[in-house]
Amino acid sequence: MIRLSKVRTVASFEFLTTIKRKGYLITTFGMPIFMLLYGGIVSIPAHFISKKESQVKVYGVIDRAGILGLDEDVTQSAGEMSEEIRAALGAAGQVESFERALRWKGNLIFRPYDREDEAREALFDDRIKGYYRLKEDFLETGVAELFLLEGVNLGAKGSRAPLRNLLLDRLLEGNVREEIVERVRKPIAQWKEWMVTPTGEIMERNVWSVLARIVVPILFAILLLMSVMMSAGYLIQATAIEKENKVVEVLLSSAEPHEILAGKLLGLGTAGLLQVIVWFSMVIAAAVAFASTLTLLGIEVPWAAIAVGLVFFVAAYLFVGSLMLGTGSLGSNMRESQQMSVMWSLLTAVPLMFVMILIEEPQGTLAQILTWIPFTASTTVMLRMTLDLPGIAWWEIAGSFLVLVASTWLAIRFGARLFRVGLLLTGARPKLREILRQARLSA
Amino acid sequence: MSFLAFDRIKKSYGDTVAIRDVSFEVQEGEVFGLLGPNGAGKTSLIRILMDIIRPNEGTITLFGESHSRDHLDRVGYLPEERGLYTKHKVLEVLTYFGMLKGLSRAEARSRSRHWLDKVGLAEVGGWKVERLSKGMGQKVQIASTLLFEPELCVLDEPFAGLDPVNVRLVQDLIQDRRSAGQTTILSTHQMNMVEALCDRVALIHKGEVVIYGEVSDVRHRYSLPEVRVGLDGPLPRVEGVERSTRENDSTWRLLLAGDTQPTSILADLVGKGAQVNRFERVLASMEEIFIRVVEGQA
Repeated sequence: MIRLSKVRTVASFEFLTTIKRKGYLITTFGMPIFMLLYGGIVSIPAHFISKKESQVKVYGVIDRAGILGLDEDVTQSAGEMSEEIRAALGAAGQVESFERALRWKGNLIFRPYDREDEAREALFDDRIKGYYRLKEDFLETGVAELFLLEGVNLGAKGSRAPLRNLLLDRLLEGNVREEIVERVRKPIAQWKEWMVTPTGEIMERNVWSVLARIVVPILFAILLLMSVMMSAGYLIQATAIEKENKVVEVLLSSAEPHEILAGKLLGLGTAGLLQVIVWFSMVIAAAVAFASTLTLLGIEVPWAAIAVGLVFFVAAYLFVGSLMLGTGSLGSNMRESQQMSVMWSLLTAVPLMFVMILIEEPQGTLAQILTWIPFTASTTVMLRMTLDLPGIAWWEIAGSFLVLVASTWLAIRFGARLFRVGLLLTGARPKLREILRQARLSA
Repeated sequence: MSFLAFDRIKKSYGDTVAIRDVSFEVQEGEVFGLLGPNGAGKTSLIRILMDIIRPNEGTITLFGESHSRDHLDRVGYLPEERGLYTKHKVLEVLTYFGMLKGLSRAEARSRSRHWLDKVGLAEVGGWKVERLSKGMGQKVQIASTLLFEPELCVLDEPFAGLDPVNVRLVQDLIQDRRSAGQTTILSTHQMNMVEALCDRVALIHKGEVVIYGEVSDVRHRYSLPEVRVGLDGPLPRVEGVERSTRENDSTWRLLLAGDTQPTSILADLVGKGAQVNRFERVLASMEEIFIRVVEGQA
């Protein structure tokens, strides 16, 4: 018979102790800030490069072949944005800023020079970045020469495509129809893909959506797995501290091992959940800010899978946490405890090791097997639901959950027995047989 | 039904037998000494009482009923190997321990303050435990054991690490408990404390109870036929004395031979003109008894 008042007391003590820890506060609130700072630091060089690139660059052209027929400066674009991206950014009202940042708009000028010494003088005076020379036999040879000042000049490569486009325009102008010119410049303006469902329905295949359906569940799985591992880590840490501080006997004389275990699971699990809520809130806030972009890109948040996944992960946390706490308590210090409980973490991470197979065959044999194993059920069910919701039967979800809940009940009982034995162990660790014998006796 | 009774308790760890067949009772309101050398099985017995470990055989009766977990909310326990949460504040730790014993948060907090005051540490409530000296920590632990006014309290080596002033403080706390009709089990190696505080004792050796009873009875039972004599002058030759030992300038310890009665020794001394200023039966100290039992001389 479990006494809820004891569980509540242990849970509230562990919860308050954990959330007041510097390490916890730093991880919970500092991690997103750290990520933002990291992003900021990483973007500083990019900003300077972008700023530099956005400056108008002038290249000279000596056209001895007479193809370009330039009388004055000609402005060319450095590149073009794909339709999908343009539409998505348009929905978010971001086209201008992205074009500015990514230099999609014209910022390259070709300036005609009749003589090479003029062009060279302009190069020395830094009025142009370099100059192209097209010889008289260009039509036969197709050789375009670029002259640059001595140095690395990596940016010069960016002027090749605009020159190519300019040459195309001038070569085809008047010889072929306008739309042919356009097709020659850009043979495929837009890629469209279609999916045929088993019922014969035709649906547009959205690359972003497919990508999202893979990335989103993996991201959520990693996040939740991380929180399970972190919460379990807190459990081990708290127990190791109690062993090191020698408060174990007082605790065991005041509450049953399974009451202490349940209290710790609850208190530290709540601390872990709070951490996840903080992180998810930040992710959701970011998602809301870019909601229209995500919608236009066809990215659907798999709410059903997330909801089911959360329920599974609570059970998974209790399951893994009990085992980790039970085996972790056998260690005489933090390091030893972590070593002893690492196998449970590895088992839990199995679906991520086989993630490519699961993505390829979400309803394949491996996926079906992993669905019924308590260690892997939560992640596998979530992945299967996100990748191919109609492919997973409701009884598979329900059955897998029941197996997980039953295993959790057994794990708590087994964990509590090991916990009782482990908490009182001092000095050299006894053999596995003796531990199991003591665990059996403590029932 | 007994207040507390151990009935044929057995406990072994693998092939090692810690407790063989232990039975004894503790009466309500007494201070009971649980004695024994290191490794005798005292801690195992206390842990069985506190339901930390389970016996292989035997039963315990507590508060007149069959032992159950719920009874332990009325039992305080100061283990020999003890500690506190070092990173927490003293008041937080005491409140937590009080709540684990069933007190509400407010009551546990109020009693913690009261007990800190009682052990002379009123000012340390807001301190982190790691800031406490060893002796302070010891007193905080005693406060944590007693703050919920347990009907039965098990104190395992409560005097370890305390200076004489604080030893006196703990002695007073134990005696206060007896005055209030509360029961205390005292496990200690300090035999002078056993003599000063305990009503009855059980001495466990190699997992078995070898001495059990009232302290005065035990001391009489295990004493040699000896008298201590104080004299103003030399000790005359007296019949019926097997051996005399001079303790100091004016005091002798006489071991009586056979059935010799102390009164006949006194009469003989007076008859021989000795100036007797002190004459008493020498009772064996608990320390002597302990050593004799453990070394197999008793």
